[in-house]
Amino acid sequence: MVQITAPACRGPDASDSVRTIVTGLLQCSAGRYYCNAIKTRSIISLLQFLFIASIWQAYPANGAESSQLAPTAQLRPWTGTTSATFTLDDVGGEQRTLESFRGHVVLLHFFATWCAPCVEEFTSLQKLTDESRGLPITVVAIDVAEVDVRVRTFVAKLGVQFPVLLDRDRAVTKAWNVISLPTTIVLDSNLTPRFIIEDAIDWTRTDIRASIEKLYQSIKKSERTKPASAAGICISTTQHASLGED
Amino acid sequence: MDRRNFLKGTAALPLAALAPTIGFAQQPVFAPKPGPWRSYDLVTRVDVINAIGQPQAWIPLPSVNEADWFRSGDSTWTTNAATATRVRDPKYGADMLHVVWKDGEDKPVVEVTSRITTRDRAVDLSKPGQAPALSGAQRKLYLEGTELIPVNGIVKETSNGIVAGKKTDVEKARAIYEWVVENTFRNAATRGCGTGDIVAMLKTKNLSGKCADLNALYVGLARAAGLPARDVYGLRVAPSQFGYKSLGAGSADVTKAQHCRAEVYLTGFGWIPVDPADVRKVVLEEPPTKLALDDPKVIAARKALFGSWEGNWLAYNFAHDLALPGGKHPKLGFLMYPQAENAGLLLDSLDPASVKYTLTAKSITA
Repeated sequence: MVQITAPACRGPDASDSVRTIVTGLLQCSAGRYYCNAIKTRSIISLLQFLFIASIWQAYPANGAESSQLAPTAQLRPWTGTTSATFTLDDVGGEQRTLESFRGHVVLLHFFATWCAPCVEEFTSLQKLTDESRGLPITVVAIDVAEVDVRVRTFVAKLGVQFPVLLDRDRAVTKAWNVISLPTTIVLDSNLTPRFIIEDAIDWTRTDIRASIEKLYQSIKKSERTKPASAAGICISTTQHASLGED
Repeated sequence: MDRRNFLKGTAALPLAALAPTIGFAQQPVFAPKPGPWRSYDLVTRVDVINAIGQPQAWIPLPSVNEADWFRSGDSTWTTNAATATRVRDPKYGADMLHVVWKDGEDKPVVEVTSRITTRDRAVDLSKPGQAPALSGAQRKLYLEGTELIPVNGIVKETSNGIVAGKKTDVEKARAIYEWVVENTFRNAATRGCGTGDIVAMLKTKNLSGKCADLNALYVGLARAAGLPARDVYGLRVAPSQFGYKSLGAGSADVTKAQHCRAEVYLTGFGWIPVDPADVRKVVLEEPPTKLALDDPKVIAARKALFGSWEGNWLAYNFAHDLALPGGKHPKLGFLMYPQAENAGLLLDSLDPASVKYTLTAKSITA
């Protein structure tokens, strides 16, 4: 009898089932007497293996939620022709222009609160902001076509410290030819688009940071101004607690 | 669910695997046919929470009248608002009740009761009938692009590929229907009924969503193929009489039962009901759930939902890109949920914390 023994501290894994199948088939070829019974057991084991393997792929290991950030996605050089300027309200109700961020490397980040990877990427963008204090880097997030109240709640919940603007009618999103969320366009200090990525990534990744640093290192120190993010809106959690959570 | 919890449940697998064969002793039937008319009262109640300034609300009213399958009756209302005005969208004829409360109103509330009469619908597609031709204006309206449903670019390219080689309008309309069923899927995580941004769907190749996405895709592809088509935004008001749990309202509380369908106009046949989104809903949600496309329940629904649909549903309107009168908000892609504004801000119709509303449907016996 072939026995499947689950090792301590983990469930049965793929190798157990593979062993069952291989052993069964080897035994089958060794003698006809037990062949049918062994064949049946092997087929059952094979089915069990295939089923569990498919589920194994579908669900993360216990206690290890899978990240929604693309681990190897890269910034692509910008090849578009559009670099539309804009004026949008931020979630605090203040009007903001793209022009006001000139002099900084700008991460123009298009997102929506219903986009699951966007939530994790927001945390990463906040971390980048925290680690870049004093440097001419600004994250400018643009919410696409959602009601103000929902975006405010989202921003308050995450404790976001960078500007979050509202593209209520999708006009800016269309002008920049953004077709999927999240999309981030990296602008140099002259507000010229340099990179684009249509995926959620960890913005503190070494290779990503290096690409951004190359852009702001070209800015003469004397030309550096106070980071725009310092002047960005900040909605505290308590300020909008009455809006509730989804 | 994680792996460990999942594995705990796998002991029941051998029995679970047998369940479909035990449960479907009879072939499922889903075959709507025009029959008796049924009337329903829909009661929509909206409460604005923590009112500030002069709150407003816009409640969709049934405004579809089609001789063969739907009659919008009277709508009446009670409210503590300063004004309540029935307003009609000039382009599509979509009706809504626009309510404005006075500054300082403590608990703004409005309750609307709408009577509708409807019945099952089916069109014989085997031979053309004597359906009246669309007027030039109607044809233009239902062939043109909307904000989220353009009919050029990738929509046109995709449509051309689908209808290539199809000679008749019926063949084209059916080919698009089958393509949507085959290539899209219902995503349970989509908020509400989706947004209907079909260019984003096609460009990203993420063809998932709910009815406002999947049926909008049908409409866009059909219009791009030269077939007048339209979304019909509405609400399920009763269970399916064919036993499909996923295709009916589970109770009288229909607050979350919004559903949009689609129609395509075929010369000689008139407006044809289509609902590829509901085929994908059967696939995902009909017990025991996650059915295959060759499951008998899916096959029956797929066959029926090109050319027929069940009259357990209320039609609000066909409108796109609606401006809310008296508000300074961007146009809505469609009007299927009650809308409300507080402190000058449009509230999130899908967030019960900001605006509370309930919809209750009741069958009326003659």
